[in-house]
Amino acid sequence: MPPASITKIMTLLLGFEALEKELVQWDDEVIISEKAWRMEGSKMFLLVGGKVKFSEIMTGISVVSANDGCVALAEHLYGSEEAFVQVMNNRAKELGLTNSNFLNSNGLPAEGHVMSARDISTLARYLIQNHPKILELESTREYTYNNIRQFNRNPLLGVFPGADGLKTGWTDEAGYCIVGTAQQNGQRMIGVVLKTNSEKERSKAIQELLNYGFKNFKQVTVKNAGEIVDVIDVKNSKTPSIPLKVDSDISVVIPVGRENDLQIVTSKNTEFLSAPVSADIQAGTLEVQLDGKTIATSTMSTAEGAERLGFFGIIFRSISNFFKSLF
Amino acid sequence: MYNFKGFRSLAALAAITFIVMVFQVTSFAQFESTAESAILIEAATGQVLYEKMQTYQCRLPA
Repeated sequence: MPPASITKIMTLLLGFEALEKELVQWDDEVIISEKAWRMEGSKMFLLVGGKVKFSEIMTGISVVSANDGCVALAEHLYGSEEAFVQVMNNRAKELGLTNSNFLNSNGLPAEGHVMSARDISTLARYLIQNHPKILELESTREYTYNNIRQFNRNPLLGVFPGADGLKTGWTDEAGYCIVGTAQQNGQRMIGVVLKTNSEKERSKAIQELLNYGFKNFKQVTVKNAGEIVDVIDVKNSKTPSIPLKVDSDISVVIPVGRENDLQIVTSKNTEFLSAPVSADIQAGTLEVQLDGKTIATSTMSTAEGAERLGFFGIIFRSISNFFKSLF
Repeated sequence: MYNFKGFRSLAALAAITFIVMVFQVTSFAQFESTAESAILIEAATGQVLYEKMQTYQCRLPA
């Protein structure tokens, strides 16, 4: 679907990544082209030939959805908006955005310029997790540039508890769109609403969507990295079995009240290991299931090593096992 | 003797409950009925908690 100005979260991501790679600095001066100056729709009113700090451009795009700022940023980073768009599409592929195609840097109407709601949520999550400064910019309520004071159009700011982003959009074709985010009690939700009929509908829909998440779902830490979850037999070892640990933290989000319905299923790659075995050898998988459906997985590894028995030890263990099997 | 006062109170309570339920259902359905496409994810895990797919396919270039 046409994403309108929500496109700008990709433009801002590339801005942050250029800063990270030191291709540009916050204080660098960006020269404004005639093309940037001529942009229509929402803008920060850049002046042709003017020199503007990169930080001002990033803020203008974030707070007032500056179409002129997007073109200025694109030209500054990659020479032309066309080259920048190529980078946008390459980055989209790298991030697994399979239903996105960009034709410009700001989301102004163009046949074939599209994003799906799922792609928008994936991109928004990536941007927030890797460049949290975006929330500082996007939650700024007003911005003045060139003596023109403008306000952030995000209807969640100052209204919805914990809201701090992210981006609104509107064109005739796209309708009223928003990707909204809020954090409550340490839990962050990201909602996307595309093509509503009015600002009022958009505002109501995104608030209800986020409320639905906060009221009905809860994050549960199932296991912490390093926690012992199983054991595995070891042949020809001084210790007949060693513990298996889970390799990563496992958190899941489940409907409120379903904590006791979670099931943990472990499966080992092999029935036993043969000594010597070192620690941290991957030995299986742990799955967290709800209603038979796997909702999280992690690998399991040996928590400790196991030394091989000596020659006489193996003989003694074999004789011992033989007699045990008789009774 | 019937306790009409108690009956009336119960009826009033039931009516209020019904109105609140209807209001909640209507309110909850807002994002489903108004947006052509919507999704809700939990940020830490990326789990999708709600999704309304778009009603037409993206027109991606070949």
